[in-house]
Amino acid sequence: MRRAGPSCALLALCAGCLQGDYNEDRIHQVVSAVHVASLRPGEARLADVLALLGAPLYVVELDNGVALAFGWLDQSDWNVEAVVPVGDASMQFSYASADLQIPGLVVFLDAAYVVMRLDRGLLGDLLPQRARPKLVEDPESDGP
Amino acid sequence: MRSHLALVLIPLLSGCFVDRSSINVPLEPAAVAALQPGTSTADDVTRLLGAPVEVVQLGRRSAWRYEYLLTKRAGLFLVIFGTRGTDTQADRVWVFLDEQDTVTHIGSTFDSSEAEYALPGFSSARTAGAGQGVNQ
Repeated sequence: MRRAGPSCALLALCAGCLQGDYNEDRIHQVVSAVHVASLRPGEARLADVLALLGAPLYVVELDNGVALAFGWLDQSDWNVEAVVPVGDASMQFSYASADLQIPGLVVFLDAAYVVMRLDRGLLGDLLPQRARPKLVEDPESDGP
Repeated sequence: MRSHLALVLIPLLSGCFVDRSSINVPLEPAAVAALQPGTSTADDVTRLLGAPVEVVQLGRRSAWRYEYLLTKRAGLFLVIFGTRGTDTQADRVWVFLDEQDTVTHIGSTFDSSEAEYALPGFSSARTAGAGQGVNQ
């Protein structure tokens, strides 16, 4: 008890100036590598992609086709924050290892819904910026 | 001895929490299965699934997204240290329609039941998800 007393007192004192946390985040299910390997560019079609990988997170229109994005996250991060009084002011140190970019797979298909290529990486890097839908001209109209 | 144990447990348990949140309503697999590529129309899709959360224009075609998100959290805070586990899973359906608003492809994933309350280090091993596609 003699040893526990100072430890408890120190712990209570530190509670206001030192904080740490460890977190685990899981978002969606990992796509099967075996299923991805069976999708051959030039042969596989949209039907095969949906049957093997399920519903994508995003569907994005491209100039010459469509991109399907599959993403998942299974990460842990820890954070430590210490606040130290220095004279009349206080200094704060913190560290965070969290990376909120979601990794995943993007399947690029042409206008006939045939797979052109598959890219792995961070979805934010692989997907084009959101844009307005393309203008679709009516073939029966004679122009403006 | 029991009082000492209680004194230790009370502060430990007081820092526990579990939380559950969801976005949209659960999707019914039976309603999705009722859609038939090649015959079902946009009207059938809205009648069975309601309004989509997103419509993506693909030239003259389109793709509609339906999604239910379920998040479960469990956490523990011990004076100067905290730990938290978050698990977000989804039921998601994409319906692809052609120029005549006829369903051509359906891709679905029903994983919301996989979400679990788990502190870091206590979550179950993750398995690769398998999708379901129904296509014309």
